[in-house]
Amino acid sequence: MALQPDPRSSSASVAESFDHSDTTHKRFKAFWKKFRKNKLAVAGLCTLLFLSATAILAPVLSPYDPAGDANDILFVDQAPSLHSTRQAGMDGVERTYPPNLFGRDELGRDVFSRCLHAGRISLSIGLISAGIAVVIGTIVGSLAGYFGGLLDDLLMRFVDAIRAIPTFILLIAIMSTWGGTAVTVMIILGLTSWTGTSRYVRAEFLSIKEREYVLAAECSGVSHARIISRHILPNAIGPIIVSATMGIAGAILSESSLSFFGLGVQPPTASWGNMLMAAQDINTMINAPWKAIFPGLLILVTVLSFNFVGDGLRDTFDPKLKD
Amino acid sequence: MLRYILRRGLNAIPLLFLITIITYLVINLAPGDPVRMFINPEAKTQIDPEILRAQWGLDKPFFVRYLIWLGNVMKGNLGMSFFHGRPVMEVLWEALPNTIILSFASLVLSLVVAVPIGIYSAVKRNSVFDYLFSTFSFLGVSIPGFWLGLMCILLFALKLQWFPTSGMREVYDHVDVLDRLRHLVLPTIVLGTGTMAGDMRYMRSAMLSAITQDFVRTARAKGASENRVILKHALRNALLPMATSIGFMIPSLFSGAAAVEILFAWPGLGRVLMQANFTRDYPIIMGELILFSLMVIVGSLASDVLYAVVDPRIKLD
Repeated sequence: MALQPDPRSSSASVAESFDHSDTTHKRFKAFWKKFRKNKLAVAGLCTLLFLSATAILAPVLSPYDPAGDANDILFVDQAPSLHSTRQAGMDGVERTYPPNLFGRDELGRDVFSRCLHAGRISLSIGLISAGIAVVIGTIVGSLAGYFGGLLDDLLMRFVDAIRAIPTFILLIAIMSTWGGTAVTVMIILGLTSWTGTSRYVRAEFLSIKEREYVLAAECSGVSHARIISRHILPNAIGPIIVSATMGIAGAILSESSLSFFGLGVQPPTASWGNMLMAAQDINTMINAPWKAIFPGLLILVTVLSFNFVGDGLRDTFDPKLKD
Repeated sequence: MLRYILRRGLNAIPLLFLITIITYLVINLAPGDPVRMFINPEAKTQIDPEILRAQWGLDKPFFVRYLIWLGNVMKGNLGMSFFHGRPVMEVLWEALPNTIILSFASLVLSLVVAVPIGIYSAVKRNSVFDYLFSTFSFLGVSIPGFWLGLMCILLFALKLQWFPTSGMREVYDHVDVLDRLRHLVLPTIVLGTGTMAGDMRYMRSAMLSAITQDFVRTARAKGASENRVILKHALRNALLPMATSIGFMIPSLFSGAAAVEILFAWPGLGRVLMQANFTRDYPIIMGELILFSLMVIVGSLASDVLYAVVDPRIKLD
């Protein structure tokens, strides 16, 4: 009969031959093609890959031990140099010392090696605290946006209360009673910086909730949890990723601020922030400014790269948001 | 208008209560028993910990202690500072004007620079000027504030010796306004730069969305000069989101002010907080959390009122 589809017809075979397995791959390729056009974002991404590689390979790349050794006392506050020196140590034995690219600090330790190891600490704290913040923010935002009503009101009041306290002030207060180690810093930074993500996620959920496929799922009796996780969340992933990237940048800045003022990572563990703390002294700044310049420059470059990448991601996900 | 202000004010009260709860939890939930820390185990005459506990009111349940503290705070009694030996309110009241001076000066600097640049970036979109200042904005939000401060001290105070390195004034007998202004310059520039960067981008996007509106096209069609179109019609509408954004800038302004104060030894609230942190002066820490939140809420309220004054549509809802 004419109403039955002919299995030999071209439309049926086209339907059968359409392979769904590479849809994600195709979407990623389209995304990457668009992202690539933003040169600053690509430059940022390359810089980040380079910095991550140096952080992971820090033990291999460091010419010196970041904790220093007994002979360092001979070389306190030495200027940066590009050539190796041969000198006798405290024990009289002649050794070749590799070049100190960033100079030495007030305890004679090589600043370059310390910067590499500090990069590990600062980057991992940034990544983990931003991760914690994104998870909490997504949970709070999705619950508030999806269920609405009283839950939304209560959660948003709570968010407003946290936003009303200036973050740095809150961090100083919390660190005074709870703080000190790298792990504590990670957790506390994560617990104080999730409010931005929650607002974006809530806004996305409010708009996606009204779309037809969500209404269809609700009518079919799909449970709330499944709707949130399978239907809405994958479509809200854009702002979450952008938030996460900007969040890492912010977390690195916050951690370095805290460490600089003595509240974050404690010496002798190196973090870019606490390396700058030691460089604050007026005498140091006049005589050995390299201690103050290089760690700060590294923070600047890292955060700038994350900001470029985040901005590029935002443009790629939704160019309507630009300008 | 009065109803609008009252409504906004009433909204803020539950927020303040929530903030007091958060403050009390943050400081008092931490592990550690103050009584056990106070008692010296090697002293000849031992105090009975229970008597001390009762005297300090630590034997009462958590919620009761919170309510007692809250009652005091509402009467204006923020407690006694451990370190200063004076009422917390007194210590904070002395430091408050210095923080306000620094924050206000930075806010003014940031707006005075960011608004014109934002306007010009929007008008001359994608020009060299625009790219230059977009880059500057990116740098401004990425630079660590304390590092910028260190570099400024290194360059302007130590190498060039144009400005002093720290403090609010030299110790003279008389009040020297010029000296105070000299001390104000570097901290203001450091604090203002961070705020400026974000403002520039925000002003640019506000201006761009105003320029693309229909009324601008109408004004041009009616033959108005480009200057009039931009400065009279587009700008007025672009300033509206800018006015609201001031309210949002205030918490980060205070955060930045605290860091700058500590770096430049500026005797403001941030520096007091840092001292309190190192001396474990909990009444001051709790008092500062409340005070800062109050300042932020009042600032947001003022910004909302400003917005209602500037945009008559808001008062109607």
